[in-house]
Amino acid sequence: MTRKTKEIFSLGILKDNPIYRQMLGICSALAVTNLMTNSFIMGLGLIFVASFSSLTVSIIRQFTPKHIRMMVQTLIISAYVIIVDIVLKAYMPDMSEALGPYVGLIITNCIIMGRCEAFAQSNPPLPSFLDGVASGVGYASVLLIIAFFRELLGFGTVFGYTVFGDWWVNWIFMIMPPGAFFMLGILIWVANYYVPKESEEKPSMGGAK
Amino acid sequence: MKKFSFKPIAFMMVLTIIYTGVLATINEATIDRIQMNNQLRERKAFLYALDIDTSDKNAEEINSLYDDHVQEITVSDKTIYEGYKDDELIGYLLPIEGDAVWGELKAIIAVTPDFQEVLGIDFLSHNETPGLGGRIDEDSFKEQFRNITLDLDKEDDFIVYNPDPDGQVDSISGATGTSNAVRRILNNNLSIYISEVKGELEND
Repeated sequence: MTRKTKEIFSLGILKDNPIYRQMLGICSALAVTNLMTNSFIMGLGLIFVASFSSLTVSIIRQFTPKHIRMMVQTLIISAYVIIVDIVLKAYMPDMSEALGPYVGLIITNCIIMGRCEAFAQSNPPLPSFLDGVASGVGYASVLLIIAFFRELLGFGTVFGYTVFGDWWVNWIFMIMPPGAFFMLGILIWVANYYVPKESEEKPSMGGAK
Repeated sequence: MKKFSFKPIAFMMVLTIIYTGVLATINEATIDRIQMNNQLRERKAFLYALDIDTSDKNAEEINSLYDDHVQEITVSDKTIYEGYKDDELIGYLLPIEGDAVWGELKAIIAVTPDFQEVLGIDFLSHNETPGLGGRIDEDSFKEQFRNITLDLDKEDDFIVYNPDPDGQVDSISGATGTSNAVRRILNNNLSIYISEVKGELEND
């Protein structure tokens, strides 16, 4: 792994994590994290969309007229999201139902557009692809951490497998929306305390506004 | 002013055509599967309304259960379904439709052949808020409809929520709009079925 690749991944997953650093994609992070399986599939969907959108945007970046680039990005992103939606509907109908409108809402997830605009627009295809993967993994890992605690405390299970016995009293609170707010808040607090910030002097790779 | 150029338009069109082509191909390739999934979901809902367990059953088993238990019939231009258990008619499945809070709601309700009792209900599609009105999909709400009696002397308020003295069902707290809409839709549809379909069925 080259130094550049390493840097892309460390930024995307830790130092410039889309959720707890850039505060993007919060809506879906709150919505789908009551079960780990949902979070996992949502994470995979986002990795797919983010990486391929970045790749495509990067490949055609030299031909794209500058002033319509946002429109082009939206078109590309929505096409990949529709692919994810169709594949889920066809091969994982239960999952498609559980995620409901949130699959379609990946289109409006600022992480993807943010990466297209901030990174893919000005970098070659391969690093852009990796950057999309890194951001997606960063997003997915945060989702899984939140979901782990919510599912464990709220249902007493992990990925649907029972962990706690009958003695466990489910915290209904954790599977309801407020539980997500508290978990996310705690996670951001812990992350900001322990994960080193990107050093101030280095020019930032950029995040979406 | 900047000079007008066709390039961006042409670029956008080419890109759109490419992506539309890709999506159309994928759609075409999976459409049968998606339709099959939807049909399976509907069949599960029908079986659920008849209180037939479909959990842990695969597609084939569900289809054969459906064939054993459900039969489509047409009565006075309405499509309804007969429910059988051990080759004996146990009730009718009535498709329900109406406008709930955020959009169209579709459900299926199973009643006994004399329309005096509800066997069960399941919702096929709706657009209610997840976590609030969307909780009508939860078993704890749907199970309440099992074996409640319908007073046929009434005109249209067959389903009554608690705490009314005649109440049979608890509405969902925090989702009064959806709860009331569900009641209204069920009562309206039931009243039509009872006045138009019930007599027709008895004459046969």
